[in-house]
Amino acid sequence: MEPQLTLVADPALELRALTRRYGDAIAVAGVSFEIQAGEFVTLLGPSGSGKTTTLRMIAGFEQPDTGSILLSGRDITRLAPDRRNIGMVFQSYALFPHMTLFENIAFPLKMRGRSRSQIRAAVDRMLALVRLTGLEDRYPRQISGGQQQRVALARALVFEPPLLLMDEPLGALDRQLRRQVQTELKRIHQSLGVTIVFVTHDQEEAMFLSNRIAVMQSGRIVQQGPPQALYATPSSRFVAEFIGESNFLSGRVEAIEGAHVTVRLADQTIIGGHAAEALKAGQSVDCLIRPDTIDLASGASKPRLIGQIDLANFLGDSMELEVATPVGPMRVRTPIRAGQQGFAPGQSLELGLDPAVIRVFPVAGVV
Amino acid sequence: MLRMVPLPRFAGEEFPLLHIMTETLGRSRIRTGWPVALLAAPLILFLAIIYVWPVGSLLTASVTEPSWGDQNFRQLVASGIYGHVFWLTFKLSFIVTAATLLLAYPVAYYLTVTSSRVGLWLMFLILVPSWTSVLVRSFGWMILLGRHGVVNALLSRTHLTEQPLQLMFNTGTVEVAMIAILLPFMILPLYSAMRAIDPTLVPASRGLGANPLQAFWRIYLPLSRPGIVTGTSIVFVLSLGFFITPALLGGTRDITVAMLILQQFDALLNWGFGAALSAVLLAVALLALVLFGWLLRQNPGMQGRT
Repeated sequence: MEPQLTLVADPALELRALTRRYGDAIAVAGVSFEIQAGEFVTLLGPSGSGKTTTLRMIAGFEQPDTGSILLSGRDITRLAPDRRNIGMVFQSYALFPHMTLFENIAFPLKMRGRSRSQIRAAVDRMLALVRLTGLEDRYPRQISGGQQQRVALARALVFEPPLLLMDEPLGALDRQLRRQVQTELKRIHQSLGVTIVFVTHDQEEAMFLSNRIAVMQSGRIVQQGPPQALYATPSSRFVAEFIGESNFLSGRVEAIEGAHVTVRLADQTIIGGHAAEALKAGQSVDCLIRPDTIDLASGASKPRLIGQIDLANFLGDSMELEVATPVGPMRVRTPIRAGQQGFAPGQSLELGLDPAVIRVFPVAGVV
Repeated sequence: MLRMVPLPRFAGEEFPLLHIMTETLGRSRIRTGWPVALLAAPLILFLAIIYVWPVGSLLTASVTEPSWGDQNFRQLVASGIYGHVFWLTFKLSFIVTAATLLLAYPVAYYLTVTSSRVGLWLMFLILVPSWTSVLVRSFGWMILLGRHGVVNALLSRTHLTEQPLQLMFNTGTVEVAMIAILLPFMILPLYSAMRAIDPTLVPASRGLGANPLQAFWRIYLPLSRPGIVTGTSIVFVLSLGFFITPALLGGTRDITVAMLILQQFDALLNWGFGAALSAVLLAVALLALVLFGWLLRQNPGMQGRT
């Protein structure tokens, strides 16, 4: 019989039903996930959601209790970390303090028995990539935090691993430096085409960097998809709160037509929206309204709330308004257009609520 | 007997004892004015009276007793027996130091990875014996290992041996007893240095392709070097001056320089020659400290922050 050719490429990384417990606590409760070559995927979640444990299992520093890990189709679940050929950047960078930057970056190549000249060339290339040429004889303690971060990145990339893992690598940097390093990281990802799994609890960072985000909660992936999709159509209130800014209005389901539901708010206003999951008439629900989807143009034929501006914050390119309404405070973000009238506290506003962008979630634990 | 208590740690530096002796003198990190220096004056005065002055007069005695000149040192060099005792002392100290290091290293490592409750108990067990005088502990070994001691009694009771074994008065027993006494002086600085090692470094090196042996050899061992240097220098210098244990447990051939010095002062009343022996022993100990200090400096990444 002819050997069968399969035309479907194996994913760069595949996690199959990974679980990990510590005593009675379940850190990872059945994570299955596929990552294609060249993707930049972020595991996003609050601390204790299992994202770092998942990453450490991929790297081989933790053994899963059940499940398996496949790297380009090869099962590496029981392989020692040094046999996996995966690059990793630690939150603390884990630079070797007794080695110069050159020796740090050369370390993985030395472990692989590369020749002196090969090492020299590869390290020089990496130093140029992370813009640290000329500093190779310094010791880690002699350079800044941002520079240390780049050395850690160079060291994790120098042996050209098919997969790069990053565990909150920007956590220790100040805000301004963070944005700079994020841009740098994006540039490096694009120029090298390396597959990256990134762990963070910072949703802004996740959205800025990733092709795809997997949101984790209590050891599970609760939703995954491109950042835009997670922002626009979160599957649960948890995801909605975790990604982007949110207003939640509580009410009761009035009527259901397919995915479209109408909801009666506390002040009897009727608004429309999309059900995130199956709902029943009369059920208590929360309606998600993103601050940037609220329409302030008067005369729009949409359900509306009347409110008064409490606070008006100027953000440069936009205004952020805190508006008191009969159903509670609402946050509104609106771009500043030339010739537009200003916003001042005390001023009355009509908030147009577009049914197309409102998501309706059942209130947890209440049917 | 010196008491060992965990010493305060300087930023990133381990076990400051040797560090202070070899590194920071004259290179203080924080500019301190005279008022602060004055706080140290009582101790300096105290040391000057009870330490510097007697040692100084002792060293002077080596060239003035019984008459002015270097005759004591000539005698020391001329007779091969003294050189031989120095060699024996040196060899004993070396063996004891090496064995102590090998035994203490895994214990110190275990202390850094175990739970704090277990660690506290272990630390207690390590320290308790060192709160007992060396004399008492050496007599303890005699009770254990003597001709009619506990070990021989057990062996004959169980008919494993016909005759009592000669367990005392040999070099091996001296070494074992010295190792037991000196272990805490090795474990504590090692533990202190190991605790300062970032626990992610070894996993990081594994992830970068180092096997367990390479990770130990290239990452953990070099980073624990401050502890190794401090521990070995303390144990080595203490071994050089050991007297009670070899005197009580050693045989006629287990003579150390310290015993020789006592003999000169106590039995022969030859102060000048005893002083010369002391001077040479002191010089050897200082030489060892300088060497260890130099070894510590060969670790550029580990030195104080810039």
